Amino acid sequence: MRTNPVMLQVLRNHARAAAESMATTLYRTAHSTFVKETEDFTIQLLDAEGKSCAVPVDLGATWYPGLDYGRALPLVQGGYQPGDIAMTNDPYSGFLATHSPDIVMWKPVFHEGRIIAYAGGHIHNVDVGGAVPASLSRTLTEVHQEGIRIPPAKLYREGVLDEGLVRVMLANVRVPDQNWGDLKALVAAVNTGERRVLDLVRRFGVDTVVDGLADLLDYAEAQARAVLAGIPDGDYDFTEYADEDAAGGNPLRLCLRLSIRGDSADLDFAGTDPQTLSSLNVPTGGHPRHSLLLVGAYYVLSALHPGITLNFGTTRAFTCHVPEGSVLNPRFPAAVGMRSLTCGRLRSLIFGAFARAAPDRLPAAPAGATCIVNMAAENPRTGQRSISAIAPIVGGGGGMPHRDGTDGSGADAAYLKNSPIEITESEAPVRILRYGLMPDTGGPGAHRGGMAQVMEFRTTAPDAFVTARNRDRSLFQPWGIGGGQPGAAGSFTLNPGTAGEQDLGNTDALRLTAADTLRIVSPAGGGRGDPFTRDPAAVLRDHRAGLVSTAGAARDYGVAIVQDAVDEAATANLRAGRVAPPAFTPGAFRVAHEARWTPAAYAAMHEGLATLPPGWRPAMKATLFAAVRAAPEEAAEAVIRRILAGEQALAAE
Amino acid sequence: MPMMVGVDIGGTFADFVALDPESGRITTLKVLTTPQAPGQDVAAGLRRLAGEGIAPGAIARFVHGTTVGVNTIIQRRGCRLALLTTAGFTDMLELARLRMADPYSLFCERPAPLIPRERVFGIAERIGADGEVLQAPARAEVASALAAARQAGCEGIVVSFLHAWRNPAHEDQVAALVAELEPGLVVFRGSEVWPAIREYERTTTAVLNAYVHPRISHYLDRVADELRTAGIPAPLLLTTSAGGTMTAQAGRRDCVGMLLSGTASGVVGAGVVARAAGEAAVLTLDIGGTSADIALLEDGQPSFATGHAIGEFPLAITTVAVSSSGQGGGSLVRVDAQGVLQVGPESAGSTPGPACFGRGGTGLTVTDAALLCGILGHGDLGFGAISPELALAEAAARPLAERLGLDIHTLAEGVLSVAISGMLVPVEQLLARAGMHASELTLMPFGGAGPMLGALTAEAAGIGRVLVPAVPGTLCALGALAAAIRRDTMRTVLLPLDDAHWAGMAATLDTLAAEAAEAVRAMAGPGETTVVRAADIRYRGQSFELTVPLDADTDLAEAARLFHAAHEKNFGHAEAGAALQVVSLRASASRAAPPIAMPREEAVPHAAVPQGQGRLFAQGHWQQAALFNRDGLAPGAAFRGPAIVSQSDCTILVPPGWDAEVDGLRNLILQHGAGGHG
Repeated sequence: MRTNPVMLQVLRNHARAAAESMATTLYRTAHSTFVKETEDFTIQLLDAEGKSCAVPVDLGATWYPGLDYGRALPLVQGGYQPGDIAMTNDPYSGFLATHSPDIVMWKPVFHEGRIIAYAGGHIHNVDVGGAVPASLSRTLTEVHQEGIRIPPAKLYREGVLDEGLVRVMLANVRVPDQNWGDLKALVAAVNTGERRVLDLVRRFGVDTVVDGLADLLDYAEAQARAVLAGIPDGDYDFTEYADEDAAGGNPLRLCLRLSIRGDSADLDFAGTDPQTLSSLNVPTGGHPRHSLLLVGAYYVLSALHPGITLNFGTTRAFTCHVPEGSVLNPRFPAAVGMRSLTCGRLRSLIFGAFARAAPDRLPAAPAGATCIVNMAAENPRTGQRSISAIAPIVGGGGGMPHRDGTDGSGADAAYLKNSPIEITESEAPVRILRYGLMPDTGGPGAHRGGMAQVMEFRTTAPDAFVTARNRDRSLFQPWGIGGGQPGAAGSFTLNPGTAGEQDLGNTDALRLTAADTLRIVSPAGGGRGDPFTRDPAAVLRDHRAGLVSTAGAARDYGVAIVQDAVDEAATANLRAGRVAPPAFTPGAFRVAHEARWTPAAYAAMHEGLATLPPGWRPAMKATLFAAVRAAPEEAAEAVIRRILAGEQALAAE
Repeated sequence: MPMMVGVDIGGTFADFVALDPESGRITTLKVLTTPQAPGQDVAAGLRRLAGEGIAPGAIARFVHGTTVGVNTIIQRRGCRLALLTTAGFTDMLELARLRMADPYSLFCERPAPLIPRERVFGIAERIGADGEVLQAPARAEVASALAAARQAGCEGIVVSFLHAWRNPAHEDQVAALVAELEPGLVVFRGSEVWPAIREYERTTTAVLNAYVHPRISHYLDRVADELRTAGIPAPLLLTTSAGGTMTAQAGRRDCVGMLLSGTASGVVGAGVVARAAGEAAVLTLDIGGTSADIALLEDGQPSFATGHAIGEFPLAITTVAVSSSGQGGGSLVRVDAQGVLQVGPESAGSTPGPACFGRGGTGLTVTDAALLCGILGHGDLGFGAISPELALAEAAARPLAERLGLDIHTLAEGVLSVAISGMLVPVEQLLARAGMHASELTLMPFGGAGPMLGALTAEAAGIGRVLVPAVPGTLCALGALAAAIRRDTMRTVLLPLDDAHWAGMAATLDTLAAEAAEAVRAMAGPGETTVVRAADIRYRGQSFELTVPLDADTDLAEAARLFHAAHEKNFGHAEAGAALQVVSLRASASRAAPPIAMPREEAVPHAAVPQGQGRLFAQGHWQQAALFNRDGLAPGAAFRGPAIVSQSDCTILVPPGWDAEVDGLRNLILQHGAGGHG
């Protein structure tokens, strides 16, 4: 390291303080309720190459501590002058913004004519135009439908605002006042960042600051490498599935081979499904250290080294290989708006691979679906139609080496905050009937998974439109490990318990009348360790808390509860002679899917798809899935080869 | 001669301040706290005050701050409770607001609720968002829940239903049933403790209140006994989290009102000093053993906030706004796996304490580092209670210094730099929230370690002026004496700010004002009571509101104008014409404490004569530092850093590059000189 061990910590504290100051400035001056409520923004203090060196911890989202602006910086035309501020929201220019509502902004910090750092950040705009309000829908297929795109461009040139750019942008969005207000807040934040960096230069000297930023990266890298060095060398394969690759679509498979060698990790995503004809694509540009690819790794590192420093240096210990044309590296102009659903699977993919590498130290799968429920309806109090946030419906964490998974929320959903029922009911024409934990859902285990959340509600408006973004894990369950059982799948039900009960599956939008009741149950966390070894006292405690039924205690844990007490003899009976469960339990749906869609079937499909241009692959994947479904008696691999051969014959004619 | 006595009970010491309000003469002393025998420390302090000539019979005002409530929560030693809440929402305490403290970790968790789920009973009742009754509670269901609670050995019941902020009828009915069926159980209603919207926060506040109630009640009885035994005629007053005081009788029910009183009193005490000194914008810095608390004072007035954490739980009531960071005098130093120096958040606390205290601590702390640098060690600490031993600090420093390849003194100065830079996060956040710049501020350090690190912290934060009060260790007790008897009332209304609703809201404000004033009269007897009114207003659709002070005759247009102006000031923009919504209405009644004379002496500028020279390790080398005794510094005395000033309750470092001067109030004012930097 260039900096002594005292000065480095002093600089680290100063850099963190500067980042917190930027974030607080942004939060304080942002206009939209959306930004204030969801804290969907990030801040980075960057070095002269655009690598993130320091981020705030107390405010904002968790995805971009290791963000690299490097590819986007040179795309701004005409180089940089003092006073410039640049921005972009184009997911395909430099792979900095990852969907169009995210406006990323940066300001170079000049010292004696040289750029020594950048101050940057992003803010999720409520709407950037395009086909649907809020610019996001799973049904969109091209990025052009997802609103205006601004390639990296200067918003300010030497301190002078480019009003033309602002006018073009604001003419293309639905709530221009809010966008402009939020943009100004981001400008205030990057200006604060610039001032803070120059304060540090005055105090410590330019060389110390520049060296210090470089050392902050080295420091985070060293911490990450120390964690990796503690994990045995080896290749660890893992596969994850999202329920659907489009509305009503087919499973979306993500594959990873995690190779640990010494203090480095290689992440090969070969075998991952092609880009989709929906907006579930994750635009990474194949960057070997794209922050979005490594969010799961940040969580793993933070679990194995509490309080670890996260910045771009962290990512240097990792190298990702992402096939071009896959859902994790789509080719322009694939739509990307709802990449957050796929990112959920991407995180659990990484959790799974690391759980194979360090099974004694990591938890089972968290619930893994961060469903955001909104409702548009006429509010009888105001007579106006408006959109209200109802709740984030997330589920529990996975069973941990040292305790049960956190109930109701946890792991990679722990950054989300709910809205008070009283506020929701006062602001929106909605009546919540139930909001709490869903019993018997947490994956049984010696340490069980965290329970699911359940919410039941009705509207008091004549009709309402409900959206439930990021619904997933209704089919594929959060996996259990070490003999633990999978967490329950989520569900979405109209009029539960009535004659008209209807399973809505992964539907993410529907109309609701005042006569209807809607129930959303999140998935739940996976269990860890054989549930038949769980301490019966812990099962009884869960039973008394209303989390495990008498039937569930007997079925899932082999514990007989009679009159609020454990019947030890009956329990011993239930537990006797049981075969130990397998180490990995992904749930019945996945077992059935993989029985049909064998590795050979997938290999045949991917082999065939690879011969097609990326834009053609999603349609062919749909064709192959339909054909396999239509020929239940024939091996899937044979069906696939037959169809592909037919296509090739057609093409040859 | 009527005397005023303030007592602040902390972790290790109970601070006593006796003030003659006419002359402004202050007597201070410390005794060790006696947590096992509540009240005995108070008795001991009173005996010592009598020994100093302050007769118990002359004590006309006795104000007390205690940490018994907050300790009960942190140690989870409160009473066994059951919660009765709306059926369908019985997991409210478990789910809280979902978001967790360490959201990057797969192992993150929420704190275990103070009432576990098996003692939470759902009652099939419902009130709608407009206060309408949708389903009334059934007697039989309540009775069976109470029977189960008794079976489970509960000592108290919390009743908290959805929308009780709007209509408390069901809570009242059920509380009446508890009184009828289980008269031995204490019962608190959510709407009674703090009738604010947001069910989790309101319920948690009621739970906290009930949880600490028996212990606080018992404690107050013991202290009242001690006062009676000692022959003190003054009623027992308690400091509150909102920077006021209340009677012990009020405190028995309003237990949450005192949970944060310690930090609040310190800020109020700092406000007294700031007003007297004419300081417009002050950042207070209270550094104790385990943490540093900071707050902003504008014209001596603190800011207020809701949602302060008590242990792991949010408190919905309005309190003096204070931010904390985990750096204190007892913070432990370590070297991490990457060879980088870290300070805190682990702390040696008061037991075993810093290595140099010789009480069994072996880890290097910030206090040890200050001793190694020569800042401490020129006298005893804490009113002569502790004599630090340099050799013990050296022994603690040596292994760390060897690992880093530094000499122990370079290491020690580094420890101070790291600790100070760690405090910058809350400082920067506070300034960014207030939209203020460091250069506008004066830093006022207090607490055991504040004056020692104040100027260095100011320097790191870009603050050029520091005011060290005459007796920094007793600002909490001074604040207690200065605090008014006060009662806040609040009601959530959630109504549009428009013609149709204004008259109704004005009437509600009148009611709240009358309730608050009546409560103050009940506590303080007849006399002049000041009432202020305010409304929490926001733009419709926003989720955060601003408190706008209103007069009794403020009209609708003026209220709106005040809100837009406050929004502009706080957030940098305003939207004239946008629809406004009133979330809550508030009133605060107070009876001012007798004024505290702050006699200003004539400050004749003169060069202070040091009592000696010491060696200070600063900026990487040993330098000569002038040594002063605070008592020997008369108004007008001036000197330059490096210098060290010792006084009975703290040590002040004037680093190189700083000039010091004593003002007419005997505050020590430090100014960062043009040439100095550290």
